[in-house]
Amino acid sequence: MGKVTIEPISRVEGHGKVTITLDESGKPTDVKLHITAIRGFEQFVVGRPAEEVPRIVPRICGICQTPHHLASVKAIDAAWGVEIPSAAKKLRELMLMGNIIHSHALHFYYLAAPDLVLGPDADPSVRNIVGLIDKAPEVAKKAIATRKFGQTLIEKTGGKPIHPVTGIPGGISKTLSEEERDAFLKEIDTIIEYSKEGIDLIKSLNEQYMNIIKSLGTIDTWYLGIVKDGKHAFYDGNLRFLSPDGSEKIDFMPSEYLDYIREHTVPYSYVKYPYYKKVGYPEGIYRVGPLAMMNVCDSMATPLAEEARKEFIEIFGSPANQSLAYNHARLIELLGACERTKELLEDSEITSTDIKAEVEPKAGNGVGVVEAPRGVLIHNYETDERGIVVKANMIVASTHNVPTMEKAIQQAATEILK
Amino acid sequence: MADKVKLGMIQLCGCSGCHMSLLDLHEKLLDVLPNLEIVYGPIVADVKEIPEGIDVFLIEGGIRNEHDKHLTEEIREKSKIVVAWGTCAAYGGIPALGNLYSTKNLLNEIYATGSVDNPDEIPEENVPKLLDRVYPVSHIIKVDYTVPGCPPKPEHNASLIMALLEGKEPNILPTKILCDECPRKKKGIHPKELKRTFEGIPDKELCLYEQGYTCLGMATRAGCGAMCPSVNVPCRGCYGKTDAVLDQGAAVANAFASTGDAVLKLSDKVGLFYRFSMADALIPKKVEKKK
Amino acid sequence: MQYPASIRIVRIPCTGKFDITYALRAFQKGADGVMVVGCKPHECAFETGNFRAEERVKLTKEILDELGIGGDRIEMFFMSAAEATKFVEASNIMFEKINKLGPNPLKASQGK
Repeated sequence: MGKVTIEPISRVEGHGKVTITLDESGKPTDVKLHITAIRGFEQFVVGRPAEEVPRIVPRICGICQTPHHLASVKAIDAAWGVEIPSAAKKLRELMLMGNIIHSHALHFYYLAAPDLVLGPDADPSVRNIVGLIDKAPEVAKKAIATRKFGQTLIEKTGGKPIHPVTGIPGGISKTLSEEERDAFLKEIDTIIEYSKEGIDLIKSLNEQYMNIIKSLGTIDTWYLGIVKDGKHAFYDGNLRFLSPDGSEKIDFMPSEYLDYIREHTVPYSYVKYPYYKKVGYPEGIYRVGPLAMMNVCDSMATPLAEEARKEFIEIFGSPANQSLAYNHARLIELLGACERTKELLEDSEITSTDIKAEVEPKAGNGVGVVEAPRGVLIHNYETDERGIVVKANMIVASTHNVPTMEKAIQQAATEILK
Repeated sequence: MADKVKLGMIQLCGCSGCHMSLLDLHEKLLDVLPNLEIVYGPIVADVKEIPEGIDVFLIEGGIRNEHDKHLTEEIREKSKIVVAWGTCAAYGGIPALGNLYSTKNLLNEIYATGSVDNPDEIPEENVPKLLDRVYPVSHIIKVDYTVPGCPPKPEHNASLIMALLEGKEPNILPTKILCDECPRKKKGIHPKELKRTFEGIPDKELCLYEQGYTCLGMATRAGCGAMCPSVNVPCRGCYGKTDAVLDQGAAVANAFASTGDAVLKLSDKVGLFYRFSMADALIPKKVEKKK
Repeated sequence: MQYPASIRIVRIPCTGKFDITYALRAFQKGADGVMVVGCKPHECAFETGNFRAEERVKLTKEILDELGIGGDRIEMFFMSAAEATKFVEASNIMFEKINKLGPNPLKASQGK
């Protein structure tokens, strides 16, 4: 009996390893994904004044800090019963678009693309962003420009490109000047063009790797995403579960999440395993993120992205169950986020100075949900009458995905080591 | 320029934000990267073992568990220069707020939140044991340079790397306090009342602290360009203490004490004063009551 | 007339110079208590040095409470430099109080 350990898992944020136990003939008998770090945010936000928490939780992830900032401030708005001005909502949404653009560009071009462009068998020392710059400098330059646009968008709405700070209960602390808006408007069409080219690139890569896409990491799971009136939504909307065969759709409000989602602690990983409560553990494990979003939504919210989604369904079917189709789905979301950015920038309200409602701290319980780059993100806080956090629960995008990632790795290991 | 610099990078108890900030050099990356050979760096590359003979190793994040500690020691053995990169590595950063709870309580709370169906289980197999608290890297090994910031500004990363490429001493950090680079006007007064960030709308020109907002600029190293006060949000001290100070929280407290009763009414003083530097404080964790 | 032998005196030119760092440093190094002794109210040569110290001591108490060390371990006393009896009296009061509180809990937790 042998054992294979893959450690550390690379080109990801966070810490993990995979252990594969083999029988005498070298076939895997047990495959586990271990998440090996824990910091304790759910504990150490307890005792903090709630308005401080949006400035703490971005450190959960340096790549998707903005969604944490926003889900957190939304949870406090909800706990304290405050309705924020519509311009503030749009500015927060614009900040989120900045993060989706940065993170999707990073995730695809900097982290995933080296496997596809340089090939999965390329030397590990070049199978990375540096190697990509060498091999495909034009692609790399456009990726850098796209990511820069996203980061600048966060900086001008959130105050800092990494770990933004402007979300405060009741709204946002910074307006967007006309000058700042115009600078983005000047660039956005180019960035939309780059995103369209990204989809062309992934389509050709799909063809090249279709055998792998169809055989590795194809698993049937439930799917969870955010929809608004059935359409794909990033900032606001209801949650929707979709069954593995696509026949069942269950919509619910973020505030009801505990009636639908539970978590199970396993002995071998610091991450908790979420599952769809009605189905139970482990049958109810599900995927979130771009692939799940393509599956759960009735349509994309913007025209170019919707066209791209239809093509995606033609290639992968619906619901698409191929884990490697995440890359394609991600690039569709990137295009959608760019289109939505343009809509927001063209909205006359985006430069409004009415960005903050009055707010009083009180005892309450609030849930804040946004679609983070890697999927549904849930923050839930209970505050006392002074507005101090007394209880917190966070279900982070990649957390939802861990049980199904493990399942995909099991499937892939069995396929490769057969 | 001489041979490529062999660079190692790792994220320990951090968030990868420092790595992201390096990528925020954007198109300048194309100038910097060709001079570097990233020999280890799980966030961007696939090499699984830390090789020998590394020129410069950037450690992001503090030390939270036994594995972090082990890796830190291994990195020290295999690297000529080790940099505590970012505020978590330098002072513990946000995760060191966990030092205000015992490891046992921390785990008990996490694995018993509202959505958990089996609150008696605590993971122990194949996961590294937590230490009693978060430690800054310098408490575990000798550190050659410290570059604070949450995250460090991209230009600080660039200056660091350029200096190391040229074999020079990186001398990139301002020694002044944040107030010295903050554009807001100061009158030299202490506020009579302290406000929470959602209370009222701050005046755009005047010092946030003097308006009663709990800005920590007076106890924080300059360098970020006062990004938070510039967008009407008080500083939380993410660049850490200045060289003249031993304990950042005490430096905040000395200033805030002058508000008299106002500061005494403030909730969660330690969580504010030591927001980013708990692990580096003179008293770096909450002391457990003996039973 | 004697003050308890376990007391160590750290002179500062005026309690206005008292820095919260000093108190935290003392506890970090294992002190069981800290007394800050300043001039009588309204007799400070710099007018407000002693009041400034008092504000800092009050805040230090709360910090020590939050850190689990206990705010009772630091006290402010006011007296003139000529009042030796009063100093001894204050030292003895503080000594008694600390004796009741027991050793600095930080020492116990580090000993583990």
